[in-house]
Amino acid sequence: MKLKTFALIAASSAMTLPAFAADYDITEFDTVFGTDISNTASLKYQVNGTEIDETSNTVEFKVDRKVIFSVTDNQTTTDPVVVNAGDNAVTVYTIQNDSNAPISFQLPIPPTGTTYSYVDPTDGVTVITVDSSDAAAIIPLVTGDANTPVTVDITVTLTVPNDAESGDQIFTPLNIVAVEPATDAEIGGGVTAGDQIVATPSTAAWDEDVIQTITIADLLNVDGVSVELDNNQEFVVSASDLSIVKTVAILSDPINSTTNPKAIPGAVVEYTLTITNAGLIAATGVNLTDVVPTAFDLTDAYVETYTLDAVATVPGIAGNTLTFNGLSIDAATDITLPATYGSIVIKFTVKLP
Amino acid sequence: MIKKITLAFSLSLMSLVASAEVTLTNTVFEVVTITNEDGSKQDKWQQPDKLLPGERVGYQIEVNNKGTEPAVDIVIANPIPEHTLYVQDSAKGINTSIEFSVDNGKTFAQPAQLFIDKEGKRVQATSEDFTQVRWKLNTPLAAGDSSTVQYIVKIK
Repeated sequence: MKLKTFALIAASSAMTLPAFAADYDITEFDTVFGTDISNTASLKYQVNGTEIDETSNTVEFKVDRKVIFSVTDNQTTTDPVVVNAGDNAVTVYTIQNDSNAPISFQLPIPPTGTTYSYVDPTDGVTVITVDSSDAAAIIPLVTGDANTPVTVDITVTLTVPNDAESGDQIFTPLNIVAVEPATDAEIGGGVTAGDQIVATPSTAAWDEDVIQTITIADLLNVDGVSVELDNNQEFVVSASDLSIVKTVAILSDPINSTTNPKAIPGAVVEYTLTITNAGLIAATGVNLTDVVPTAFDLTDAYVETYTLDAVATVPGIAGNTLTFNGLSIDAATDITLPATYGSIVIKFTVKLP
Repeated sequence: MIKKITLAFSLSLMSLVASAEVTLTNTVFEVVTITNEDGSKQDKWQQPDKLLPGERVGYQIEVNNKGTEPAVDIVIANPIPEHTLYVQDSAKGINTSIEFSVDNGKTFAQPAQLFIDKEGKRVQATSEDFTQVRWKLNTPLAAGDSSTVQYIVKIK
């Protein structure tokens, strides 16, 4: 039946264009796309005492399809999320299908070193893991509604290299493209399972027998037709970043005592080892080895003094080799500000024979 | 003699048929809310461009007396289609009394007199419980005249 196009409302002053909502509310019932809605009016009347019944034409149309989905990640701290070198950067993305139609979601092939894993929604049990050697996965989601949302969790895992440096940026990306879950001749000009879902152009004329596909602005690709969503959780690498500086000073000698002492036999020499941590995580279990020049005899009558941050400490001594084991150096609080770096100072004195 | 009677009978039948030609035409629109320049909002009935859950559909029914005699006691009835809900206070028609049914057209009444069974209790029906809407035209429809009634439903 052809549609009449006359206006029904009373005359009014100049009007602005309709302000359509950019997103469509999910209704409690959310009638499935393609459902036929049919209406026939009936009439009774009398002419000259005779009762007559009539019916109108039947007006029928199919409910169109709205393709709406959301993706939320499980990171609750502020971005970027801190991850230690050598650990896994993990983000769980939850996809929720809020369409009035089943939708399939195509994941890309993960980058090398990244895996995606999820529970197969068709059986609710099988765990599927995809890495860079696998084909792109397609995940089908049935239609839900406001009371029973339908979701799938995708875990994206990337192992941070052990030698990643503090401050390096790491990403766990997930780009999802909506694809047709089935072949259907009534959608648009007919679609095939696996095709990218295409939003109907706003210029397309309405046809009561053709199912249009509508989506929201946030899901519409720059090409104006594909329906997809890019996600990219950022991480920052935390690592220890140690450096060591060694200095030497003469504390005293037998002739000058402590006034401008010289490096002459009998002088007391002080070595200072400063270990600095410019990284964002504390260094622990650090072992330091220092070889004292062979001119010094660590077994003579002079009693060497060893301190760690001004507190007496006892190193391991083997010949002229000193070892200080199990040291801990605090992390920096701002890798751009050396004043915030963690450090420890080891000092020891030896006598010049 | 018999011939004459037969002729008269068939003639009167023809005139009866010729005088009773009232047609009923049903048209569907999409009903959207528009904002005027002064910020006020109103409904606009327009050609549909898409019909999605949550959107409103307006039906306009025109009754047209194309006959030569007035039509009286005109009653137009429409269902609230499956998968839709009646939009409260949307049924309109000049010079009509409007009633609703909650029992698929068996009985009609004003909204205040409509009740349904909910979990064993008899409760007042809401517009979402209506199954039919009916307009009774208060005046005859003269030959050549037409009248229009309308209502709006929301797609579930």
